[in-house]
Amino acid sequence: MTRTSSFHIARIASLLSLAAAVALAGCGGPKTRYGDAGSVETVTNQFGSTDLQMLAEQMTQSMLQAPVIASGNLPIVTTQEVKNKTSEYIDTRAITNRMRSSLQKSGRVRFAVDQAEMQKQLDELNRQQGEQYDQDKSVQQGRMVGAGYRVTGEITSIVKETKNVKDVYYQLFMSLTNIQTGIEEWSETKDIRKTTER
Amino acid sequence: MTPVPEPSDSNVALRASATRVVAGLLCAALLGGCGALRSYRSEMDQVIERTAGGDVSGAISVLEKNNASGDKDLLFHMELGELKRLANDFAGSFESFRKADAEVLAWEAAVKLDPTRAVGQTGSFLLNDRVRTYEGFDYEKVLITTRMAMDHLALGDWDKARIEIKRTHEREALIAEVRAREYQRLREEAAGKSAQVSFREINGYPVESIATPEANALRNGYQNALSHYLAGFVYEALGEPGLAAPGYRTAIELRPGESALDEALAGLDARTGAPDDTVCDTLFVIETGAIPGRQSRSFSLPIPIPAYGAFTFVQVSFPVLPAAPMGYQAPDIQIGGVDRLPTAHILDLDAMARRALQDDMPGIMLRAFVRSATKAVAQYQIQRQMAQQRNRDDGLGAVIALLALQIGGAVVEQADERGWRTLPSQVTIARARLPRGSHPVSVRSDSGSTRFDVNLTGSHALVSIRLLRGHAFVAPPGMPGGNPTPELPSSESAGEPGNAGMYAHVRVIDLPSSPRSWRTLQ
Repeated sequence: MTRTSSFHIARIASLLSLAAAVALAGCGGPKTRYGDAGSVETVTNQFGSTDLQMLAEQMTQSMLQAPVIASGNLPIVTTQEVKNKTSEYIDTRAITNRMRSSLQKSGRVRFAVDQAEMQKQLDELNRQQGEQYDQDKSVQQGRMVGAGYRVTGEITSIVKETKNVKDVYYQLFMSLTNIQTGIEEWSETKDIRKTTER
Repeated sequence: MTPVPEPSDSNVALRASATRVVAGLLCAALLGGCGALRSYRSEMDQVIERTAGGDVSGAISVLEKNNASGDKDLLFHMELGELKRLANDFAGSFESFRKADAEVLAWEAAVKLDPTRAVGQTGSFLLNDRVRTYEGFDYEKVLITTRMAMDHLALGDWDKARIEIKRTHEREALIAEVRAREYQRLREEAAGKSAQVSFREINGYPVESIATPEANALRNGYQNALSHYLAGFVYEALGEPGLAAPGYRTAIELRPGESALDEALAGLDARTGAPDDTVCDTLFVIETGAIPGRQSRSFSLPIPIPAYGAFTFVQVSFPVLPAAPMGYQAPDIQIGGVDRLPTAHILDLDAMARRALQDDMPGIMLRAFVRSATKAVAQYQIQRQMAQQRNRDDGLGAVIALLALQIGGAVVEQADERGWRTLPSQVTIARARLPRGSHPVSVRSDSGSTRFDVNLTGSHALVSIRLLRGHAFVAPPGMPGGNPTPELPSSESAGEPGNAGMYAHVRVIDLPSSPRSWRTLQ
């Protein structure tokens, strides 16, 4: 084999390798990877994970400063529905769940069963009263503890759109009310503005 | 005997040219599969005719016969899913819709990567739009997951219905994003051009059939109030008023002025705050008629030929829709023969089909003009030759060439008639908090009437009724928690002979094989 033909074969082989590499890279299809759940998400201007995390975190920090919690009396709180007054399908329970777990971890608040979970609580309570259970080890009825405070709130939005710009403004309002006295012990408003230019 | 003139060189060349164009079109049609020459409208007319006669299994057979090849498309799965719903085979219906949904998911993945892509659309510039890959109209994509949710509700699985409901509004949000980007791109492209194509400029096009007040009043071509109201209803049934509220609110925004929709949102707190264990919150979804199908119609259009500085008239096909029906009369629904329920006209699919065609027409026209350009040049050359040969005896060849070109072109030049045809034309809802137990229900509408019994046992129930040219189909209510209504419905009270002459006569009976299987008998 001459030197020239060897050179051609080597060149063709390297070109084929390059083409194969390009083809394989092109045929790879969509790639899936794990990302940081706390990283900023700006895929669209709809309510997203960053908004949820930001609002829940800011609300929790503000609530922990409320005198009724900061005093260390370990108040018992129940969460009520955060009303969704927007036209977006925002799972407001995800906001209160995140707040609840952060507040519990702080060790300064205890939570009583809320209205949404009440039926499941009663079902389990009643189930243990059945004859299949050892009554000495079963929980007893009439021992549930009522909350002293309730957390409630609402989320609203204002959407403005022109040909080139879409502006969305979210406002989350939350409050903590003494159930016995009806006195509002804490309230807070947090806002988010998201603007998308096309 | 008159001697036949010898063909001149120019005639031979003309005939050869015309033959090449015609042969090219026909070969391409064959290569593109029979899709180019297939009439979806006539195929589906047979399916709907059988369905309206109560022969749903016969309709399914016709559909399957017309789609005998192994490679089934989105349209087939949507039609089959709808027919199986009418046959009360909800598991089969869900399976068909799941396959249709897989096609839409592939579209979603592709459009996220490249919103301007044109995969599988090249043939439409050569042959006709029937060879385009059918991706479904936007409202059809949204309705697939809505139907999947309704199938789950009929089977009593409200948690799985919730999954499909959530996917419905996520899909809608994606479509909104895609269309906003597309609109922006088109606006930028249009800024550099002086002329815009509009179906209003096609001489003889039935503009009034697609630019109806109802179609023009729609906010867009993909959102429908039924899907959002159903989302509100399912979220409410599952104790999630925070998610139910936007469902009702969006439904109100899409169908303003329907007081029954306003009441759903206004009473949400009261209903969820004080649940009543003795009543069943029942939603009746009454679907009537069949959505209008597109029909191919030929129009003579002037096509410019820049090379000659002239223009010629070419036959081009565009889809048209039948004239819009006269004002819709909402069905009348009564419980126990006395209590007439307030209704809300929640979805006008007739208008959505017209709106979809309105929105599609610029693209359809653009492709038609590109296709016509080649034909126009060949046709102009022949016509010019004919004019030059008018005073000679050898013009016969040019006439033959012109005829061949026009006939061949007419065979291939057909507008796309595809669309999800088994969908209803109109949807009305009625909602009532009824005492749990058995209730006789009667429904009367322009599309037929029915009487049946429902046995309500849970906190919430969805009852689907479809009336099609006098025949009725009723889907049973399933209650939250996973079980359909367990007791058998009473068949004695339904189907009384005295009412038989007035309207279609339906008894709802339970099949012995499965307590979940209901069907209607005429």
